[in-house]
Amino acid sequence: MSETDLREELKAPVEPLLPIEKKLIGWSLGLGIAFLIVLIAINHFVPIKL
Amino acid sequence: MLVSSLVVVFAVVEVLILPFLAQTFLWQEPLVAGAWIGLAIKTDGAAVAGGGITESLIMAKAAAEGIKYQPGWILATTTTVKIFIDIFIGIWAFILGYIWTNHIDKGPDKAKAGEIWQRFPKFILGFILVFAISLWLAVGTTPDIAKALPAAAGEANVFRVIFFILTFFSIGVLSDFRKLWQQGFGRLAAVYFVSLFGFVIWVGLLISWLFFSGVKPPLAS
Repeated sequence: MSETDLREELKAPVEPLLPIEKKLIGWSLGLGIAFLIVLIAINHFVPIKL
Repeated sequence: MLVSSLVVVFAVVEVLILPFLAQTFLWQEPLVAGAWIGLAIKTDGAAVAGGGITESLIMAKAAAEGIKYQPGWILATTTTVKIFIDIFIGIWAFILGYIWTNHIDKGPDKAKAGEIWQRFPKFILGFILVFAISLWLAVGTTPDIAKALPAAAGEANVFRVIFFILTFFSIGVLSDFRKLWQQGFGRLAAVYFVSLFGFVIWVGLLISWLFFSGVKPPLAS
């Protein structure tokens, strides 16, 4: 993306997210939180020993 | 140039501020501090520099309280966390790209497997080569060479520091802030500032706390 494009894009009105984009964001966040919980559980039951 | 300048300017601000906050509020949880720096500072070089500064500050404060930690643990935590983020961003971007091009925005042009190689950052091959050579020197050669390896790595570290400084210096020289401001730098900077200080560093702190609280570096004997 050139700098002129970026300048134009910054001035452009905000485009609403497409339903599919919302779905992808939702799945990404959901999976991230789910994996975080799994990792926290593993970390709790198998704690690190230094 | 605009975005890279923005990221670097914020990284410099973070490197100047976050290690001191970590020393003040997290000195009793050194590895939480190390992981937090790795999660909060955006560019790899700045994150590692921030980890190094945090380690020095926290070790100094702990030493003043009579606790002497082994060096290297805080910086290693920062580096490991940062590298894992990089790996997962790569994997996740690939998965999303695959879903988008094959299931959502299906065009007549199919991305070929060769595209992966074309877009692959080739400097990674240099990392792998250096790692392979170092591994061979450490385990595949005589014990004398293996013993000299840490000192050699220390010498090479001087170059890392020099190139790191040169990177920041070059971006500083090339950044024309008046021009950047005209191109909407202010608005982007405001968005970046709000997401960074309103969201990223707090989520980073929470995750670091969940995984590293109560874990201390070994004490120096």
